Amino acid sequence: MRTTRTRLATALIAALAVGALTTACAGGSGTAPTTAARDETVIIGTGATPQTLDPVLASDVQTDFTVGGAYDKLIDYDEDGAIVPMLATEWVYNDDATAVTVTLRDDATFHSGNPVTAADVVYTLDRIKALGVGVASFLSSYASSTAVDDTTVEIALSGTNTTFVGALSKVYILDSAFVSEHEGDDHAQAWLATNDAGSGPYVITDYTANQQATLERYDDSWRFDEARPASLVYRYITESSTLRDELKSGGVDVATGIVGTDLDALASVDGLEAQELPSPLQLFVMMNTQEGITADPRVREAIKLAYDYDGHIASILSGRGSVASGLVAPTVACRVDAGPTEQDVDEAKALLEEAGAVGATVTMAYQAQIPEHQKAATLLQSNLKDIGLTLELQTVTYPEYVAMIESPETTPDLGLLWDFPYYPEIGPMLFRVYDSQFIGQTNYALYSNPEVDALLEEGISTVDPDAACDLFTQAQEQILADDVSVNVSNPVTTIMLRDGVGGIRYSPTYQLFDPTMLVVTE
Amino acid sequence: MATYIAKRLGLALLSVWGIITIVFFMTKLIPGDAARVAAGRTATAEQIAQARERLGLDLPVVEQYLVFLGRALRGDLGQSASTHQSVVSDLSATVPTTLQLVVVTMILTVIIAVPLGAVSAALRDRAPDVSARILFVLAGGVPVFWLAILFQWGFASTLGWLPISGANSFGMAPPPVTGFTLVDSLLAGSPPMFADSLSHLILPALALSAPFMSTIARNVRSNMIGALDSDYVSFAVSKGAGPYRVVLHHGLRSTMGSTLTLLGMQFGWMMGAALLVESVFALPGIGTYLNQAVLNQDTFAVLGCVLVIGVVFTVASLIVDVVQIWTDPRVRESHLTGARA
Repeated sequence: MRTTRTRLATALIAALAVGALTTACAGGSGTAPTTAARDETVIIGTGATPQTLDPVLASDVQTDFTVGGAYDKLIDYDEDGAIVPMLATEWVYNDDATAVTVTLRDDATFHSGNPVTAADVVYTLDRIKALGVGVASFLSSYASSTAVDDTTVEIALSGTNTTFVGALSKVYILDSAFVSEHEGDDHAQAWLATNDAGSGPYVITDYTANQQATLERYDDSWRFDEARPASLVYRYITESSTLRDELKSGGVDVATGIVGTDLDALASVDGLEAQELPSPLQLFVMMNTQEGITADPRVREAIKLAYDYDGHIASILSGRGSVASGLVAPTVACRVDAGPTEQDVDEAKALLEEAGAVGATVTMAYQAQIPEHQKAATLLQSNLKDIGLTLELQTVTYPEYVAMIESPETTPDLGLLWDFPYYPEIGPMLFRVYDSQFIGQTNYALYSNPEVDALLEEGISTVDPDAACDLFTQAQEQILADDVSVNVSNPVTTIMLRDGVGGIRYSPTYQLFDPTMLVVTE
Repeated sequence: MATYIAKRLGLALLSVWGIITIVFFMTKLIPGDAARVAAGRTATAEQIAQARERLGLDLPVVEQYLVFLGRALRGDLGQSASTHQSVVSDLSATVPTTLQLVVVTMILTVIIAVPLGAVSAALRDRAPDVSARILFVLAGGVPVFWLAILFQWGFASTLGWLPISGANSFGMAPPPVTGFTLVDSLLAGSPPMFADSLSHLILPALALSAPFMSTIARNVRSNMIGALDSDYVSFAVSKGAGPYRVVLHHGLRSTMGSTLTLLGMQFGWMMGAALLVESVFALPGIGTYLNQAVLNQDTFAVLGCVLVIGVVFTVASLIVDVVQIWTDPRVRESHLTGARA
């Protein structure tokens, strides 16, 4: 019987081996159909997976990063934070900043061959207003616009707004004639979700949601540059370890979203270079200023002094970032630099005791799926325990968090989140996060200070930029004095590049980098 | 037989309706506002209200449910709050990736787990059997996500035998026709594209199949041991039946019924578990879509995914039942008698 079983087992193992062999195939990893050769193509591996390619949602970093190469904007910001021309050659506010006249260049064409005209600008702005989503939130003061002639647009605002032109850096201009053919009953949202109607230096030629997008260089672009790669391929890869391995194997040439230990593992790999860019991101712990023990400023200050900022930078960010020193990242002009906060446990204990809050419990909502948040939440829990506070952690998604802050009763004591200015103007972000009219929406700390409200509202409507900056400075000083938030860190954006690819530099309107800057150097 | 199938179909429809109803109301209990997601992070109250109205989220919950059901019956699953496309369109782009992965996983499960279970039973309590049992426990207990990363590191990054991630190599993607890359590459008449597509599925399928292989192999082993110890097998051996005939005809065949049932159920479970490997291997399947939908509180997208997974699960179960009735007279007798009663 033993012999029989042995023969049988041999036969079955052989069958198993044959079965396994039938599945064995060749290797290699990668991407999409493209007419460009591999050496003329730059493959970008990124976790910034867009849900749609419709540029109305370019307020999402994911959509913005992919469509940025395919569309043009009216203006942009340079790396010093100054507004520079793109499709617009000139823009002039009227005396009270309730209207803007924009002059367009006359040599730009869409990928369809249609010229870029004032009618396209009017169509794009009206569509954004009609949809009321995404970048519409930056253009809430847009009332209407008129095409005076092919290269002149008059934009009427609903009130004085000196930062409106800055918001145009988030608006991608659509080919109105082309999009109108696919208008449907949704303003072409479904069509634009997978198609391109831009005039940018690249044409989106292939797109598979959640997987990849292929962009081919548009040689009739008014900003054509032959140093740019002939093709850009975006591969959407969310796992840092997968990105790391693809970079090592040559499956991608540029990678964003690789985290600490994986970056360390790549440090010694020949042919790869890490480039660190400033980031507009800032990590905050927003404190409920209206309810619970955090309504007491002494408790808020104690929490601020309890946190181990240096430990955060060294351990959580592996040195890739700095301690926050204000209400916005250092990349934004007119920012008050209060210096990095330092941990002072003794002072924190004294403040807590003075407030009679020793032994109390606070809750903090945080997004556990973000590694920096998850680690920071645990560190804060440990730090607060040292001063006599118990921190209960509550895992949420971002939609859950914004639902929680809709009323003071449901707002947690603390909320850990990233925030950033979408374009490098300090006014709109301060207004959105600290003006009391946004309580229940984007004023995470439920902060209400009439003096700050007045300064912000006056600043937004002040035409003279220096005077506006002075008002915003006063507002920042007051907000910092009120200890509304723990200003934790400004992580840098680390981009991994293969030798032969370059051109990347900081671009204030992109959270990652401007893909049109990429050049092939070898 | 027809009556039985009709009855099972009715039950399947009832199950899918039940699942959708439960999930619909569950999504309404989770804190969060899909209208805010749709309008964007910095949207004003007016813009959020505008998005809420457009998505039909301003209606009472019961009315939203009835509207959803009415539209679903017409094949319209609503609009995704995050992609701003119809959920049907989103699903048609993601389901083929997952279905293809699940089919390959199923094939690997069968061609590896069934022989392994049979070898283990045939060599009961000997070294190969003990080793196989340890393997079953490991495969059943190791988290799929971790196994996926391990396979990727070992077989792709280190050894370079298979691709690290993605659905195709550079320049090897077939023109999209069905969305199934294996089918599309065949339609394109390109064996290299087919081989490339298949090579991108092997590691994800192996990782996904581990816990399912463990279950199938253990099931085959225990059933086969029972069969090999039975009187009819002893009788067959005494009559001079050869070892291959004894094991394949008498032993292995007796395990087929329960194995088929398990495989049918596993098909649906694999659809749900696919997310665990899709993210590691950067495959744009329904798991990735569902994950995004849950994070964004995208109710209609979540419901669409649940509907697809539920339908696949119930259809797979139905097919298994029908095949069993067709192939096994004992099951046929039992079910059809029951059906008549």
